[in-house]
Amino acid sequence: MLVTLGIVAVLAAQPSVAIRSPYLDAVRLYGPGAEREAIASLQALRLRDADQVFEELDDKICAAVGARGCLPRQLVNASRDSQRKVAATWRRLYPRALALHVEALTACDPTADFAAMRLHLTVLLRLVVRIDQVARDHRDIAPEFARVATQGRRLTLWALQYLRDAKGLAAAVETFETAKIQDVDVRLARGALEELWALPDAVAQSARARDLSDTFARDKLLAQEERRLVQIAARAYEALLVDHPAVLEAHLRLARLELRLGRTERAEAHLVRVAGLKPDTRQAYLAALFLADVYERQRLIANAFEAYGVAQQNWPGAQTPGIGIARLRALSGAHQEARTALAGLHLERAADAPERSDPWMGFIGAQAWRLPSGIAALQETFEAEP
Amino acid sequence: MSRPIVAVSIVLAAASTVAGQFRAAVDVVRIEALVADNGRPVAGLSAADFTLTDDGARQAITVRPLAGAEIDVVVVLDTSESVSGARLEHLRAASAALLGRLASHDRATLIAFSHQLAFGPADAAPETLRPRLATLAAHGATSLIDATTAALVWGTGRGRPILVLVFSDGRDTASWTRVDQAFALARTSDVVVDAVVTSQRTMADPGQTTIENRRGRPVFRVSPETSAQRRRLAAQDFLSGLTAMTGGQVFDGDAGGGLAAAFEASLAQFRTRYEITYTPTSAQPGWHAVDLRLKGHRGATVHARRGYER
Repeated sequence: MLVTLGIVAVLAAQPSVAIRSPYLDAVRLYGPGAEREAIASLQALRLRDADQVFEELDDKICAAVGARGCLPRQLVNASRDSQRKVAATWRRLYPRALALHVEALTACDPTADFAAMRLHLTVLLRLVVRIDQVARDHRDIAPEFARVATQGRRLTLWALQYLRDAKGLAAAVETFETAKIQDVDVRLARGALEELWALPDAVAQSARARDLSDTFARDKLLAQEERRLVQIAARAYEALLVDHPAVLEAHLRLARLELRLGRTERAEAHLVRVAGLKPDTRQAYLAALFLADVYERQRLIANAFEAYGVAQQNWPGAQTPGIGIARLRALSGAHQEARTALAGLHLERAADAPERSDPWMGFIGAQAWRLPSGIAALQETFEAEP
Repeated sequence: MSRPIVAVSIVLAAASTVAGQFRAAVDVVRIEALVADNGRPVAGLSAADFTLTDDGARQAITVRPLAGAEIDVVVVLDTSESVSGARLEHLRAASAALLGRLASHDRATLIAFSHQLAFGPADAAPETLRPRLATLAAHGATSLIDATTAALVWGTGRGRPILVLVFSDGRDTASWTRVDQAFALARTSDVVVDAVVTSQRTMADPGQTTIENRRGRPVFRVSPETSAQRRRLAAQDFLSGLTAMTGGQVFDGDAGGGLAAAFEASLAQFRTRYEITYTPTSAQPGWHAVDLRLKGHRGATVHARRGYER
């Protein structure tokens, strides 16, 4: 990703349109190390309408070079120098604006900041379209600039998964699907969305809406409804795997859903498949961890032990396999060995003990774990002011 | 049958498969029983005052009051983000007060948990836990079931009376361990689990939990309406089940005396228990139902675990 996006950054430094405003200052401020400050500046503006953003990014900039608008036919009357300045300005501002609004979106409180979340999402969806458009239409912007739009799409989807904003994610996924964008990230996001709808809390909320007063009937309906929604989520990943059988994330997520459905053998098949697809250490860790769960459900305890062991080898600092091993040891009556298995949780660990982190925690948030590296990749493309 | 397991780039050959049962080694069964009359503990009881049946078979028992005996306490503290602010201070104070009530011959272990578990000091003199209390910080999600499971593992099979005191104010949002797995372990355990729960949300509670990586970027967020394994059980439901299973009790940390009073009540009650031990006449694997009764004390109630998994 860095390599492909890097192409965009390899452009000669060109002067840009010298126009300032509080919004454009916030966008220009945004960059590695200045994220929080830029987000605070943006939040202080209390924007209410996505149109305000595009007045700043487009209308003001085009007007500054004497163009009546930003459409190609409107810019054509401007001088070549002005056209180049506009292009250089957009190349500098759009990626920063994209990253800034993604970060501002993730900084929202999903239980309170509804208006801000909607604003940032609207801006992001429009920015993605706009970046695609300028990459296609503007002769001073290389077509590779469209990769920034692709990255923007991903970041938007991951940010919404991070927030667990089902409504926002539904809006974004449907927008992209309607635009016939059916890449792996959009399809993973569709799966993540269906998973959000299948959460017991979401199912319970929908049941409450139906005002079921009979507790027994309600519990039965909840169980049925949850199973139905989990099956829908599973089908989203199954469909993705039909077209892209090597997408490891889909195998991992589908395996967990199969376990929720009690289909351990199907789950096992997906997890074993991961081994043949050259997983990275995170994926190998998760697959081994989930296999441990499969084997325990199948009462194959020796295999569960071994799977937890493989998980530990892949991610030595993770606490989850240690807890699993400790529990299994204790259940088998080996109490001292069980306590020893908890050693990784001790405060007084060896100085060279691996860093405490656990991809299981990230798995909970669907693809949101990719957000930090995704933002960093986008930041790599930022063009500095000459 | 042998199953493959995923490794970094290879599929390891699995070890020979052991199908079926866990086998818990149970030679001597130990039960810490609380006997109360109108809410007040009944003192001075001996083996002659009890009858105990194990799967219906009368057992020869030994009875020892825990008052003055050496005990272990495993303190399990929720230090997730929702505990930040004044509640964390109350938690520190309550824990310190609890440590002050322990004798120098007692042992204490501290497990602090958010989404991460931090274990220690362990099996230590109570006073040595105080410096650790001062360093507790509230952040992150809630791995209540993982932490409780770790405490059960730590306390089980030690051959001495162990109280596991769990404090939590929220629902589990990040555990790997399932409720049924924790309960299965509790059925084999000889510890008593008491729980202190609170339900008030603090002003500092933002209603969600953000976990950041080392660069300060968000990695995932859990809102109170969602949970890692999507359990319907709130902390209180999980802990109610666990305490009932182990013969413990749930204390209300929001009641008059607050957390400190709840912590102290749990310890004081544990000290009034009787340790009842016996070697079961049946070595049959599986669940053993235990029926412990008091002879000749009308109105008195016996609070103890109802059985064990062998």
